[in-house]
Amino acid sequence: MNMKKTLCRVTRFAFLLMLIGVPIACKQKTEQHKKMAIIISTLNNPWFVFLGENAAKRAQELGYETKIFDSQNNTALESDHFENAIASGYSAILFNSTDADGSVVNVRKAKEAGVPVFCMDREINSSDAATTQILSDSYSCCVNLGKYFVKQLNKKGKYVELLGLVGDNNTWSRSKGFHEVVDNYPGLKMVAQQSADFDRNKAMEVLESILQANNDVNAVFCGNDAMAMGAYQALVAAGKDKDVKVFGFDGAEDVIQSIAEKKIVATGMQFPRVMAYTAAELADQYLKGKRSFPAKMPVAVELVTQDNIQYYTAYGKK
Amino acid sequence: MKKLLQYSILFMFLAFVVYQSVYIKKLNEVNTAKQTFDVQSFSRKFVANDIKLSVDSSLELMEWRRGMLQDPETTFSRYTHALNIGNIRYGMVHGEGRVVSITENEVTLRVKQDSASVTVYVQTEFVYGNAVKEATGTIKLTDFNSTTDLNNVSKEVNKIIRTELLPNFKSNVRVGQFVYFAGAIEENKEHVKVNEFELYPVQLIIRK
Repeated sequence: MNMKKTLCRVTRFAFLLMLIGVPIACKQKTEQHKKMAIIISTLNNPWFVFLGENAAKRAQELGYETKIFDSQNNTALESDHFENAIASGYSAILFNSTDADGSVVNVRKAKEAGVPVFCMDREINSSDAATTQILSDSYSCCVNLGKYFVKQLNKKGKYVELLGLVGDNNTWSRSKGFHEVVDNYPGLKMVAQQSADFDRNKAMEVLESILQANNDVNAVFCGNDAMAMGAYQALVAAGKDKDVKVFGFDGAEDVIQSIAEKKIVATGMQFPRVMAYTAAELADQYLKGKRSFPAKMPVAVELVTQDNIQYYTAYGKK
Repeated sequence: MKKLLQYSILFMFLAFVVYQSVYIKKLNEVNTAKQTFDVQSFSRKFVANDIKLSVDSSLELMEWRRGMLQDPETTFSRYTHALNIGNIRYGMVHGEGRVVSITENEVTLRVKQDSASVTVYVQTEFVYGNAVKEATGTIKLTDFNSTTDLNNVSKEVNKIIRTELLPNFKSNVRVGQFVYFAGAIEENKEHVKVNEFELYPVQLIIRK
């Protein structure tokens, strides 16, 4: 009998707690609703700084508080940022991954916690973890770059390819697009293909080393502009900058300037502002109730050469 | 004896469970099973059906040009297509022009109508990229499980053009001849071309 009475009292007390507690929790969640985390692979590269800052800017214009997290190209640190963002009540994550495979588990964690993730620029190898992925069509632009490359070299010569991070799908999309064209021309010989991790200094060191064994190279194709600048530096140091054509990818400020000065030959202009803004706007739509999004949203990348440079500026157009 | 029987039954039960749980297959069998998209078959049908229909409903080049000069917004929205977000769009056009020069990479045509004259560079070497695939407007991103399959369609369609359409044309075309052409062109909304066009051909007929 006493047990029964105690049980009734406990049940009534719990019900009372729920009546008071649930609205308070909901109110807190609504107040916490207005934050977006922007998790970027590395802030050591100005291109990614631009991406992150524009994502933050657009999210703020839409009424959200934002914070940018730097993963320093480290998937473990990226994982900490995700846990931090989930625990701190961020409503959405605008995300630029460190590793196409390694980042999937982080995105799934956020999804399970009810936090939508919008990938920017770098793809993750999962079709259902992220809410959507807004990606540059690197492959198609590198097909165009490959065509331009073959024309510039008149279908013959020796070249070096500097690859980006091997865990980044962009590295392989760009390389495949380039080779789809270039490999059809047996007069063009790839004398070396090596990763320089999308890093300027590493690219310089790698190319310096390659040039020692291959001093008659005619061109260098680089998977991003930071490496193109590093490669150009190495060629200047070797006195070969006038003889060797350099091609990059991104549309970064220093390479755009270099193309205008007729130093670097061409690049692929990405539109990080378009990706960043689209990610923030889609996240806003999600938080206002929209749930249907395509798995991937490709963004065009435009070929920029010394012939059309007047139409372009860093990270976009004039 | 009883324990021996019990252990034997338990062992047989475990062996049965493991046998039912584990499958051993050859790796190449698994890889073949995963490759369900037949890009060659898809591309052949695309060339025979989608491209043909697109050419039948394409604008004549000078009409395209008039549209781009007078009302580019409507012309872009009605007659161009693209899968990517951005300024690059593709459209299918047709027309007839006189051959003014031939190089190893392209055949240059002069197309005239009334007082207007434009130059068409028919690509005969560097037929790569998405122009032909996307100019039809019939391909959707959601039609494909992977971006690789989507890109492979462009690759295969372009290969069909380079290996089946162009060789005969290149060996027979001469300066001064008139050529009927149909093909895809790329336009950039930010800087529209109206006097020179790079054409990725899908149909070429040398007029006798």
